[in-house]
Amino acid sequence: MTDKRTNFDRRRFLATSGLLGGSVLAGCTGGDGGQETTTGGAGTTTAESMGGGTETTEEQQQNVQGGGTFIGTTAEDATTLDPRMNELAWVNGFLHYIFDTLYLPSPDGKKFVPHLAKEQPKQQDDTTFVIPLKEGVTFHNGDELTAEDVAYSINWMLDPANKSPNKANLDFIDTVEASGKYEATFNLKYPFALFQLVLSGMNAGIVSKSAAEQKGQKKFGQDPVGSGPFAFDKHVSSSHIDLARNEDYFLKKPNLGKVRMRIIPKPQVQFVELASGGVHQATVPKNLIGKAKSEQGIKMKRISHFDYNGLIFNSMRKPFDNVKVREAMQYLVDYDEILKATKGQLGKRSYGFMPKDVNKSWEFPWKEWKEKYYPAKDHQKAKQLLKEAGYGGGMDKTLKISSLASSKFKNMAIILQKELKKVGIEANVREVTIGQWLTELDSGEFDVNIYGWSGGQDPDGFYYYLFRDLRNDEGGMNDDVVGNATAAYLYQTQDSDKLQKVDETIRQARRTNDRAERKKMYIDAAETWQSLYPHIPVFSEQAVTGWSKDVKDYEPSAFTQQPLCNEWSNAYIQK
Amino acid sequence: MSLYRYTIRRTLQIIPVLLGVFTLTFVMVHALPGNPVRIYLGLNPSQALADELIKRYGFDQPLWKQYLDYLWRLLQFDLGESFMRKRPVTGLMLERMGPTVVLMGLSYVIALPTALLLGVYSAAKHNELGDHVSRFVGLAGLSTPNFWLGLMLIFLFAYEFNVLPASGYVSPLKDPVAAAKHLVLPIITLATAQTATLMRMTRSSMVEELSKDYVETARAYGLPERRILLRHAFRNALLPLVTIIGLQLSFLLDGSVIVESIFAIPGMGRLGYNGLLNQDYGVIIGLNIFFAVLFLTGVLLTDLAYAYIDPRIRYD
Repeated sequence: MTDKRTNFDRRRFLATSGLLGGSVLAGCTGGDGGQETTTGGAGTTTAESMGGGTETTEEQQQNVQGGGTFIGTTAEDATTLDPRMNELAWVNGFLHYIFDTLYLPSPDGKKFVPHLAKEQPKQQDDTTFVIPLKEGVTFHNGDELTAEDVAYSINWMLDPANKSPNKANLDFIDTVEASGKYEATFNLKYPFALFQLVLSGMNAGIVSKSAAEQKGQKKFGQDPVGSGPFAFDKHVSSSHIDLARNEDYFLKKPNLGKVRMRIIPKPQVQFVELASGGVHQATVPKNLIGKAKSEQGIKMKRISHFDYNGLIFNSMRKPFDNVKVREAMQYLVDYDEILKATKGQLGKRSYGFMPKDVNKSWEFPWKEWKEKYYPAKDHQKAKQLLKEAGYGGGMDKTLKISSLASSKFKNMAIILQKELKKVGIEANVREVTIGQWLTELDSGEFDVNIYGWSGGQDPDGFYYYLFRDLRNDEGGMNDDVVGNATAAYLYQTQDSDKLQKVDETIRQARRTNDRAERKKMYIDAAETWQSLYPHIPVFSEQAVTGWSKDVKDYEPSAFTQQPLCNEWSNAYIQK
Repeated sequence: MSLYRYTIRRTLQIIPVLLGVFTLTFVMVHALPGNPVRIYLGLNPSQALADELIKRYGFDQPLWKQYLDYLWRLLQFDLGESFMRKRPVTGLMLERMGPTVVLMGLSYVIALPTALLLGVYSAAKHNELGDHVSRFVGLAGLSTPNFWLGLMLIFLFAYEFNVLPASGYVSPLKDPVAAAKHLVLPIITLATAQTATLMRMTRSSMVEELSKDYVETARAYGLPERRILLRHAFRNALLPLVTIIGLQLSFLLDGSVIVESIFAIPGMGRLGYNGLLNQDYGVIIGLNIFFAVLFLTGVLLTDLAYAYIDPRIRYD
């Protein structure tokens, strides 16, 4: 795969050992060296090439030889391989090798391409869509994929008795009927703007009805049967998952003979495996990017996550129940400095509580928002606002800032702590476990907390999940839950008509198909929320994926669900 | 007291200790802030689903009832189900036992003779260059954290020299050569601190013995130094070492958690680490009990060896 090095000089050793040492220290504090905290949502990404790669030529294409094993890496093991029950974001991406969906996003993410579906949905009325299916698609057990399988897969998740964690994502669907052998009819409860987006994700992966019924859910999760380009072969727990080529894949015969996903928890070790030829793809840790660039055999791409990270104020108690105090906090920090201290080059500033990429693709007025709601650091202004709020003489308590033990989060907390001290406010930064963090968000036992959410490429992924009033959900909330982990604590303290109207807007936006109308709704919601300063919004993340140049016709991207064998590529290992 | 009766008495003493370990672990995992249902469901959970899971796993029951239920299952050798993986804990542990046993066993097999050899050598060369070097190496071994040493070894031998794999595990039964290649770096990482600790203990014990009158007498009688060292001083120095050797098992268990994570070895240490992160009660309690049994067996064997070597122990 890559060049093997035999020469070793002291300077290089010291340089890299320093880097590794840094990584190790980061690992100690749960930073980039360790597993990053998954905070929910279906993570989607956009990508930027980091150069160094060579394009596949026609001549190389002609060198394709069947077979070869592609070895990828991941940090976490899968708990189930049943898409109906899975909740882990990386497993959802991986399951696209085994299972197909009705639609796929195009590589630029701008449209949905029919995949198992023969064409775009035919709309009968506001809530009825007919989707014709391709004929001749077979599952790995040889059974033909029909509308019965589509209806079964979706209806199974909608059945409350099955307790599928995906039910909430599909709740807009009433039922799916097999209206013909190759035709599925979707009856929605209400018009839903994200209909095709959901159908293109693994939350709506199509399983073999006969295999699922025969095996039962638990066994199906350990020995799944789909129709994807690769069939499940073996799962060695905490070690690897093996897939074998589906010779009868309906799109084309995959070039690769096998796919192996190795579970390697430490990103530094993933990188060494990539550089030394042990694997074909790995995440490159931030402090090893320079080293990776010097590797001849590695291509890299910077991939933006559609996520949002920041600091949330507990507006349910003093002093952050006062909007002037929350506004003052915005003047305490230098947004660029805080970004640099957390993700450095691997991050982009967020506006309107959404990633910059969402702002750009929806053409939101993020530049105006930047001017209006993200002021330059100004301690005098901060002091003045604090004085107006009645805290001119300081505060009678030490603020409690909580953070997960991860450098990206902890540095945000530490920066705020230092700036607070400069204006005479004492604060403690306390590291918490994930369990403590979730409990604190539920109980409201904090003053400032870190917040992270992976919401996807649609504003709904942020506004519906972070800023709706949960008390208005069907079934409501339990009495012992205060914040219920949404970022919208203000609903419980400032129960104004204005906020209830925003809640309605957020709910209405996902039921509105007209994009321009939706955009206006999200601008309204964003401006209302930003004027209340519930958070210090900081950044959306980026990660660097590296892969071996020996892998041809392979290009990881933001929207391509699995880049090895799909409508646009058929990867192979160059001999 | 005969060795036979002593053995029975010591074995029976394990039962209340195990009950204590279980009780303590049970109370501690339940005292952790947060609950596994929330961690499993993440942010924005469906309240109905959370309620359902809480009910299904009995988390809505009073703690004393959960404790008694768990104890009853335990008496039937049922360690319960992993909340995160939805699989029996016993099965998960059995799957991962092989790599951990191989890793720990081989580390010990290498650490023990190396430490004894270096310790005796160092004591024999007391305050000479060889002793200084051995002590320095021992100190370095003790002060080097496992995770740093592991990553540095990976960088050197997998990245720079590219002669050994950086991670993964192959069963010695399937492919002994590949297994050996995969195990070299993890074993060095795990064995280094063990070797250093045992070496320093051996050295201290030997230095003490060599300063005793009987050694002087033996020398005065003109016995060869090698014989004094190995047949007389070393045998007596072994007594305190036997205790330490048994107790070192617990350090190996600690080390395996880190080493398995760094080298991506699918062993019990990693299972425990992930269990702890996710507050997977079944996995944490199951592994603690398993490790307690293993540790107590090590201590028991040590005590029996001690009682065998020094019969006075049986009458204490």
